[in-house]
Amino acid sequence: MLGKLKKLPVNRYIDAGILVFLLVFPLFANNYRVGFMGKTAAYMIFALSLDLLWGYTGLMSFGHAVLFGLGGYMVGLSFTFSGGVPDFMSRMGITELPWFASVLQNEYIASLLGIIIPGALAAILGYFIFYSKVKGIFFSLITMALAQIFETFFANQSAITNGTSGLGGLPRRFFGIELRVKPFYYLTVGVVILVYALCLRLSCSRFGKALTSIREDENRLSFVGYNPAKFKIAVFAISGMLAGLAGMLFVPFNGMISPTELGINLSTSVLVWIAIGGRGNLTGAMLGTLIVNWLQTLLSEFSADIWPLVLGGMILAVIFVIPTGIVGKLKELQYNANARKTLREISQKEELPNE
Amino acid sequence: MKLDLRKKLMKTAAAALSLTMAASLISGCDKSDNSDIKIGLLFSKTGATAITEECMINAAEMAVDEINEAGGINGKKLTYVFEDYATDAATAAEKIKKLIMQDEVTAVVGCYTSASRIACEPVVEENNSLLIYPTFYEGEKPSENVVYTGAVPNQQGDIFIPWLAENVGKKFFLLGTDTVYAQLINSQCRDALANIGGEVVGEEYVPNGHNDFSTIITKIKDADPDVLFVNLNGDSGVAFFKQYKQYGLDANTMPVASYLLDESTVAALGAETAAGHYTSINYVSTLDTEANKSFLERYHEKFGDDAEMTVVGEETYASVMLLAQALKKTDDYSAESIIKAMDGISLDAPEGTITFDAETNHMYLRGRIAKVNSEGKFEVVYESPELIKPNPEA
Repeated sequence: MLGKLKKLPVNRYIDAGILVFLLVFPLFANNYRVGFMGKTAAYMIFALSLDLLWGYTGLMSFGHAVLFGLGGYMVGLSFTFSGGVPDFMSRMGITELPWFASVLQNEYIASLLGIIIPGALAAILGYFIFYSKVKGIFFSLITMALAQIFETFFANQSAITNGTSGLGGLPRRFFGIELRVKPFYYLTVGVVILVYALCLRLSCSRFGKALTSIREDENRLSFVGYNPAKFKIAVFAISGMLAGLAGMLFVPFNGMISPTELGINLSTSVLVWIAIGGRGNLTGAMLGTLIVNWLQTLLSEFSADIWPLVLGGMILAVIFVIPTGIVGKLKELQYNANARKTLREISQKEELPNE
Repeated sequence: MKLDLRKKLMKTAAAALSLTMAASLISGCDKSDNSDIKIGLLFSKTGATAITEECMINAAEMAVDEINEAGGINGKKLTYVFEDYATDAATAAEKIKKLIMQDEVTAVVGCYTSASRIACEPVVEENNSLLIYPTFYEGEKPSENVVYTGAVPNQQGDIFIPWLAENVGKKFFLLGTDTVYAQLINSQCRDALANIGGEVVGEEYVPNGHNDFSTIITKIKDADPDVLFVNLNGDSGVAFFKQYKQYGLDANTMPVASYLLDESTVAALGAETAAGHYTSINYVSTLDTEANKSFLERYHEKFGDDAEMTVVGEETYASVMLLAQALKKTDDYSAESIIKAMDGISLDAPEGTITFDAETNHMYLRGRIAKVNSEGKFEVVYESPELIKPNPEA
């Protein structure tokens, strides 16, 4: 048992560390910090969803926040419409809710839609993108344009979305359950653990192996008889659903949602978190999210000007010094140490053949 | 050798990181003692509106310093905690939570964008705290936990439209970004024109971030209005003014009137492009009064001659002063009693005396119409004889 534990890759220890840290955090922190950690936990789900797509499959989405924001907007609109015509609409002279409001007023349907719509959007987009063999940087460009389109679209539909001001005053509810900060935090951490387990299961399965081989060499995968497009559409859809779920958990902590939550800003931020943490191993996505978000809030409390400088420095450091990210580097070190140990063992055995 | 360098780099980076983290933790500790009154300042030091909000931060700091130099608040020192919301509404909500729940500030002065205010309102309401919002804005149903010191549309439009109709011309062309704000002030403009026999010869809305106005300028030329009533957000506004000039429209025959033309827009456009256009606002930095001159002198002494002052900076200064006066009148620092203490306060601000309206939590303000002169400075061409009552729900 102990031997088996020792053989685990280093990042599984970090995973355990992060999960324990998330669980005990509220015992030492005030409600404000717990609320912030809740947002970070929702971001961790978001980062995990993108890690499946980018880290494992090699599809660098520059518009992943669209899927996150759509999930958030579903619950946001549901809360907003539940009290009848909201203030911002009546100020524009609108006295009737739009036709789809009656659907969204049902919290359970809205919550389901928050997962389904981002998943469906990803699947449809994936169908057109991957069957037309769009690859590499062009996938990134299309998704980037998508982020810009959605951000502008939601900002301009002010009769429904309240424009750039967004929807505010949203309660801490998830699938009809309304909770105080700490219980809601534990609910979110529970979802983080589930999503983490799901991603781990996926990445270890045959499906996960297929994804990795798409990243490494897509042509070879099709030579052996698999259709890469199908795998890519599937992972994009799964990733989209998880991103939507993350958005639905983020909005209650945030208390509001505005078009910036589905724009390019957040889309690039999440890429940076994963790059710093290390991609393609789940741990890096969670660790990077945790480190960057906490550094940002602590440093900006200390001095507002310093944060962009530190972030820029971190990005440069990752690119030039540890291109595989923090966790990638640690795994590398562990691998090298193990290799040295094995080599030593082999050479020792060779020296003492008569024993 | 290469490896060594990498190791060194890593070590330096790690050291720098841990140092900044340690420093941030230390600074997180509470330095003030119990006899201080702590307020929060929430503005953007980074982000898209950082340039506009710089003078708000400066003005707030200056107000706090001046209050303390004059003996503080009933002998107590006024201190502040600053937070940067980086022109992001979600960050604003997050930071105001931190100010209220962690720093336990008595009140927060801050927010510039409407999105940030709307995001902060539920937080201050939930915690029964107080936010003082120092920006002219579109108006809303007043929150019981917010004091609004900036102008609302009626305080700009009530004098602006009749004055323009009388002194410039009666044919108006309305153009705005497709937002609640622009639609609201345009409908107010239409109502006002109907009352005085004016005429709307065209009305156009463009989406956020729109920057090609060639089609609209052709429509404007066809409609041939006397006044262009234009309220475009941010970069759209700058793009419009530039194309206005390129397409040969002339400020002498068809000037632009806008609520959103301030010192920083004029600076971005340059004097040549901005000259001849009008705005209506309660304060411009060129205001020729003793109070304003002395205010600007103190401001420039503190922050240098190049530091700009705009209406939002002046309103921020007035907000901190208003809060200080209210705190002097009460021993109970709950939002309710601070707002109650504001009732009846007449504040001698750089823009002149303004008074608090307990009915709406807004301010009675003096309306002013200003024209950009050839040097790119605002010249006040009209001043309302009375303070104008705020009507935030118009």
